[in-house]
Amino acid sequence: MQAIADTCFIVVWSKYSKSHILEEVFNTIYIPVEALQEIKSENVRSFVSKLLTRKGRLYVPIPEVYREAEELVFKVNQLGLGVHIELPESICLVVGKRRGLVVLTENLGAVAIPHILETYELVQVWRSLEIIYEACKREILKQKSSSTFIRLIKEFETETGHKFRRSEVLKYVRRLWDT
Amino acid sequence: MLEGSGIPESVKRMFEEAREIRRKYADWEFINKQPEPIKSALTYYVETGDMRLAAKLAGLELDEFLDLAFKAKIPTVT
Repeated sequence: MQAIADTCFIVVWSKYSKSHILEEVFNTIYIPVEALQEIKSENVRSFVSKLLTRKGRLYVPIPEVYREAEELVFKVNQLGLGVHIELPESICLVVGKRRGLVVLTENLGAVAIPHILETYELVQVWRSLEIIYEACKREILKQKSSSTFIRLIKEFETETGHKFRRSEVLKYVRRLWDT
Repeated sequence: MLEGSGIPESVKRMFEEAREIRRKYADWEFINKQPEPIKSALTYYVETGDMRLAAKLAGLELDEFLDLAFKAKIPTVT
């Protein structure tokens, strides 16, 4: 399984003590050059360096991807979503559509696109929650019960400062234990 | 879901829930102590969730802004 990650996703995962699971869930994680260019913090650059040394790959878009990504930025800004996206997320969504890569993002604007634009409805957009769920499903992270899964989620939230909507966490609890 | 048919209610709810979570966890004492334009940019982020525009308003790169938001206990929410 291959993925492409945007800037905010990388920032969030650079704080997580179990970030190694990213490289167990995905064979390759592409990072668009546009995302790399906007990372200035030392700790985040250090995280990206380690990722690129192993399963990370720099992604340099072809001109057609740039054009489509710019059109998407424009289109999303016209939707009146209240949250805009820029080239790093947009490139991820376009590449996700063209090459079937999983798009990794924690930008709610990007998360919403497959729910809004028909041309992007088949793009798989994963948040950190889907990655943790997948790691548990494949037993990369062994969880005995729903309460240990919820503890794992809380640990992620404490370390990264990210929050998941409770309804979303419960959805994945049910998927793991109600079958 | 059709292009041009507007924002679905489920997406509107998603944004509203995220806003409530940001408001709930934000450290307003920390935010109110910040100099301008940081204070207004953090407040804008709490209210809208638009991290990119908020970073620009603060005059910071996105990752630097998200680090500041982390200190202000404003979560990214999905």
